Amino acid sequence: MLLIIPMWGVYGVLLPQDGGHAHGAEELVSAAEFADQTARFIEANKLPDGSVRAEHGKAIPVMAIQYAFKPNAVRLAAGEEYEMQMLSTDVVHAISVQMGESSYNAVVMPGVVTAIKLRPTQPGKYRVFCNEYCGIGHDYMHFSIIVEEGAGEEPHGHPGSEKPSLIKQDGGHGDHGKH
Amino acid sequence: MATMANTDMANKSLAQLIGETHPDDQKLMAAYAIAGLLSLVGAFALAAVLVVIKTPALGLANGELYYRMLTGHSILGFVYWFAFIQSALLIAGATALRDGGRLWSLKLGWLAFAFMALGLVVNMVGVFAGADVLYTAFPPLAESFPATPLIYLGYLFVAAGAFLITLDFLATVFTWVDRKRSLQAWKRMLDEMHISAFAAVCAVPLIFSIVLTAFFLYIPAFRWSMGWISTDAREFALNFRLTYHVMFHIIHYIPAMAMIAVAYVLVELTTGAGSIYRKTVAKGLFLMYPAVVPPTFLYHLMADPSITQGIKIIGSALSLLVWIPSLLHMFIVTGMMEAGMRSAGYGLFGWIRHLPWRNPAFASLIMGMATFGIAGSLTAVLLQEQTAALLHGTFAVPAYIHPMVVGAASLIYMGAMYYGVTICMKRDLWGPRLARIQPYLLSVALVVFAWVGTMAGYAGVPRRTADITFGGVAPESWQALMNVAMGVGGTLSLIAGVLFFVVIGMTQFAGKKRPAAAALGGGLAMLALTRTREVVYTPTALIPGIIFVLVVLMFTAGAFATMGNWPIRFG
Repeated sequence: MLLIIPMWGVYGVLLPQDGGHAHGAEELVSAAEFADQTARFIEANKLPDGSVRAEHGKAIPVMAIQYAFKPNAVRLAAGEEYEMQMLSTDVVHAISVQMGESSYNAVVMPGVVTAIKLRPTQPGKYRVFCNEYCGIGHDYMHFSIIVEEGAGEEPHGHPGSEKPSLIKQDGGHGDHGKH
Repeated sequence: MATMANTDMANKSLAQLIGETHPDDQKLMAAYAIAGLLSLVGAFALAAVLVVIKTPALGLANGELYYRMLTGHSILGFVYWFAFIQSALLIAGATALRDGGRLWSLKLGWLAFAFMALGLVVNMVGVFAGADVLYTAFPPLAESFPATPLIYLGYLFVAAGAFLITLDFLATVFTWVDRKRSLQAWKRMLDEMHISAFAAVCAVPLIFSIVLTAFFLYIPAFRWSMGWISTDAREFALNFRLTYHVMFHIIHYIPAMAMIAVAYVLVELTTGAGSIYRKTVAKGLFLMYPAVVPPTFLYHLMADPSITQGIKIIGSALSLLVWIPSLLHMFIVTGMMEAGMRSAGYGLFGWIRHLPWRNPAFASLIMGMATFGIAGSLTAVLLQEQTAALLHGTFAVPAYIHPMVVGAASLIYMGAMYYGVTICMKRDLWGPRLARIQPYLLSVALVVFAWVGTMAGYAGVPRRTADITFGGVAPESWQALMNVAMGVGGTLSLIAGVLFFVVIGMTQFAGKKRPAAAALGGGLAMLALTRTREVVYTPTALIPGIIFVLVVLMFTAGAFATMGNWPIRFG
């Protein structure tokens, strides 16, 4: 059975990356604070169709609430690197990012931010469903990640791609975007 | 005195011992078994509603009904069927497996029964009063349903019942030692003890930790849900979630251990095989459970943000150990069959054909073990932090848990019930032909459910979701997969369940009366073998274990390959 452990080595997942959380951050965040940050982010980045366009290197706040995600569509560029920071402001939810043949799943709960680094490689529209029963309206709760062609030929891993964080900052990146 | 009586044990068959259990103990055991059966009937009845709702082809998705039925189904099936039937097994371990054995206190046994029955009633009132919280009843979700306190309260009652019956079992075992101060006397008692009773002894620390955690969890939860303490729901939820998973994790291993304990009894009853491996080795393997089970609770939380990745990786490594005792037990039980059969002259593989395939209890045993192996291999991807994100919270979870708890544990308990009912009621099985096909139908149905359900899980279908089309935006392919998993696998499982209930129910009232001394009929007679040689090595029995390991490695490699091809890279 323990033959699996060398397999983790082969796939490079034997040790935790940068000693931190695969999809977590320890800081406890209040629902109100997070809701406020999400609202400012949406306000600053929203497009006419209601979706938001995220910027490389900046954190994307996504708030889960019975029975919706805010924002309800996030536009990313292929080849860039992002960090999605998610928090539920009510009950435990989860995300299930649908990628055709399979999905990526993570829990989104109140109190602790779920921080996921993501690097889209192929353009397309990816639905994200809630996959933790969160009440009667659970099966209508979803949002979309829309991946667009990358802006330039910029490879991922920019210089200056400092670890984006929404939690440790004091000001909030969201509000000095485009107005 | 008890030890004196016990020296005769070798001269009596297991079936005789079971038949000679004291009528008062039998009555208590029967009460638990019947309450368990009724809970299982309830779980199957509600499952029928779930099958209808979750088969997309029928187009009857209904959220409100679905979540209520799902809450009731899982509480009946996972909590009460197991609590009752495993209590009956504890009593059997304390009495039937020991010649002249009596339960320490009948009154305590009945008190425990009363607590469990009360828990069942309170929980069912809660469910039908609208506590659509699923059996997990996580706060803060529980806040939205006023009937939730009844769920927590029912759990407290059933935990109290489990505590009392386990105490009774433990006290019974203590009476087996005459000179309590003599270490030798204890050693002899543990040595003489039937391996299945020993398994129950090893389960005691796990049961006590479940009960303790349940009190620690549900007393504050009950007070919180009544509004008696003003903790912030969200803060409360975090602690609840962690403690809950510790308890819930250990709960899984009680059926695993009990099922293996019953397997040792069934292999003896059906094939007459005795252990060829040192009994102390097999007994020692049961001691591994209390050691390896509790720390592996982490594997339920692989997709949670509240636990650091380092801890998750340690948890993943530990999780790989939980298969080991079960895998080795499966090898020993299969080896017992192989040695017994081959000592009667059958060849290296020829013995397999001559097993008593038409004995419904044997079929339950062998199909239960096979289903356990198949379902076990499906868990590999979920247990590892590195791959869990692929399946966490998807339909792959119910797709493996159902074959494990229904197709393996419950099926093996059903096999034991075929014997229990015929021996204790002194009647032959009603409808032996139906009984003969029932175990095969149930396990095949659950393997279909497991296989296609796991495919649905890989495709991304979430569990615990009434309308898997998400109002029409979900991939079309999901519907076809769920049509097969639920419509075919689910329906066939229901039919197999009904077959079992009919056979057991009819046997009690209409089974042919059998004179006390007569051999068991209805296909349950022990295989008659003439031993002509001694067989010590059992190579064939190793094959399922080797296949299991290869399949697990294959699933893990497959998961890494899938994740490597994702159009969005995570982590």
